[in-house]
Amino acid sequence: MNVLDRVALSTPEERALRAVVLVTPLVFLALIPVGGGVFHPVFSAVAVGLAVFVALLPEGNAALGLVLYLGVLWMLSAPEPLGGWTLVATVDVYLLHLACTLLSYGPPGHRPDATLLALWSRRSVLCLGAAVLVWLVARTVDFLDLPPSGTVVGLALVVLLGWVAVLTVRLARDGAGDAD
Amino acid sequence: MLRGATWHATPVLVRAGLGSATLSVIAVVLARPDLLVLATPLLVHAVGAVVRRPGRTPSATVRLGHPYVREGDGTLVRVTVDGAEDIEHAALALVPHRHVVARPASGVIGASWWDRAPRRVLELPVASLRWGRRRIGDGLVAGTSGWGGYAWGPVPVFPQDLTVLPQPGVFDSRTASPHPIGLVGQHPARRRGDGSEFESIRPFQPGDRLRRVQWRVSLRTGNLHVTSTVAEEDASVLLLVDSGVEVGRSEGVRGRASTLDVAVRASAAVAEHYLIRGDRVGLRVLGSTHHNAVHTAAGRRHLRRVLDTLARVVPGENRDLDLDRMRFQVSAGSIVLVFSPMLSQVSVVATTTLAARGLDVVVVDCLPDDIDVAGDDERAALAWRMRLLEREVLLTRLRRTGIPVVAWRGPGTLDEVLRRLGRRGARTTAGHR
Repeated sequence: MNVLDRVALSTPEERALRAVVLVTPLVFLALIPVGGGVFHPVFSAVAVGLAVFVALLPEGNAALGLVLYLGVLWMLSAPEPLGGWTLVATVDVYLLHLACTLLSYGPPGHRPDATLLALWSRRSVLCLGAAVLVWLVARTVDFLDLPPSGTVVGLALVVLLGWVAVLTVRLARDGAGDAD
Repeated sequence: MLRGATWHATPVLVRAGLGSATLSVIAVVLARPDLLVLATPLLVHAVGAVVRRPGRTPSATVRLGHPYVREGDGTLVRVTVDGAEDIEHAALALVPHRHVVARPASGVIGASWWDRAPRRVLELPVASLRWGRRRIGDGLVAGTSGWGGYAWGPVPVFPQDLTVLPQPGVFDSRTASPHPIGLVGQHPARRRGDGSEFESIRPFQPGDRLRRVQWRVSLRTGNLHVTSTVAEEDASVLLLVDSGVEVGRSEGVRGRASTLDVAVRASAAVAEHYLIRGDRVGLRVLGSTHHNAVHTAAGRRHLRRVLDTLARVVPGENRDLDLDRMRFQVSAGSIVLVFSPMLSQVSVVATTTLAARGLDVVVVDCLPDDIDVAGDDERAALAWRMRLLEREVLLTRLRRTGIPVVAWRGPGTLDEVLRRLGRRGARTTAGHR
């Protein structure tokens, strides 16, 4: 089934989710100048192109590329790392991720049921609550103006690389099992 | 793409895991806490998905709610998934088939659950809009674990047989059968007997029942008179369905009908009418249908047999059919109803052969008025007009040889014809006397 057929067979709910996938990167791009950052027309055009591609194929791995691209664009453009707009951008990226997630639950014509939406409402509260918590901690650390600590950074890196290793092993094992 | 019946990581988990990990590492290395904030929701999602990593592999089976339905009536495609403790959401997508509709129309449903039960059931209502044997319920089923991290399938589910019985058209006939030949029934016979239909008032004979004494006439004449009635017998009807030619496009029970649709639905209606009244009905299908004959019998179970055979009718001529050796196994006195558009040689020969044997044969013309064969093609339209003229000539010839031809129009279609056949039979009998 080609991409246009998939879009044509979509339910109104799926079309709304595709619209969310298309709109959230645009909002993200608008947040950069609003938050005092620099607007890059070329980088923004690439982001829009990626957003269109992801809106057409939300269940693929293109959305990962879009999320990473937006993150790097934010890093390069945003002048105030821990301003209020960071939280808005976080909610925006999460909505993009959530819309892609809900679209990947079934083939075109699939209607997300009420239980699924309720489940994801709870999870969204948890995910965004954790983001707010991290933001508050980062603001507190920034406010206290603690001196940079190589140990803390090293520890954080070890934890993160451990998590990456666990994840890679899991995904690689699942991929191998699937190939069998 | 089919991924097999094992659990595998979804792009959702890849995105949440690798996206959060990459952004977090950049955040730590470049001391950008805002990237860590951006990555946190994805990180929580990835952790949740990995924690809910499924273990047991489920299996799916499909069943239909009913093996038999009437056309237009619904049933359920029920997919049972066993070993479904780790499934939080399951989706079913059925392969679309002609004349089969589902609710929702896309044939795709999904369901989610809060609890972790070992068995999940997905039910999709479907209906067949046309009679016949259908294989439905084939499609794909897939499951997703908690947090959408892992997916099972999509795995194929295999089709099930569904027999769609024809929806009998509305039919009623108030006219009795011209030649009832059975023992008990509802049709007034030509002989006297224990019925309810008045025949005459005649002098009392030994053996007459006292309750039949007609006291007024007896007192007036001075001799005992009794009311005599005619016996009531059942009729024998042979339905001959011509499936050799199908003209027109069938749009299901709510749309336009093809000639075969009309023939099957009309014969089902007539069979139901006579069998419910206690008459005996037989069926013969003229065409390539494999199971093409039902012996003459009575009863509601026999009605199911007739409808089941009608549901198996497929269009197409039987080229091995030898008309000279064709045996209809029809007893004398039976009425033969030929449901045909009279466009095939076989049906014409069968009709004239049966009429030549002295049977009462009625042709029920199954060509709908609104049939559109040619579309916008002028040459095809011209050819179809010529074919219709040939058919008209043929029907006129049949009428001239004494075979009545009536167009199917539901209730009362056969009333006038049966009345005429009854009168003709009575004249013939009187002539013999």
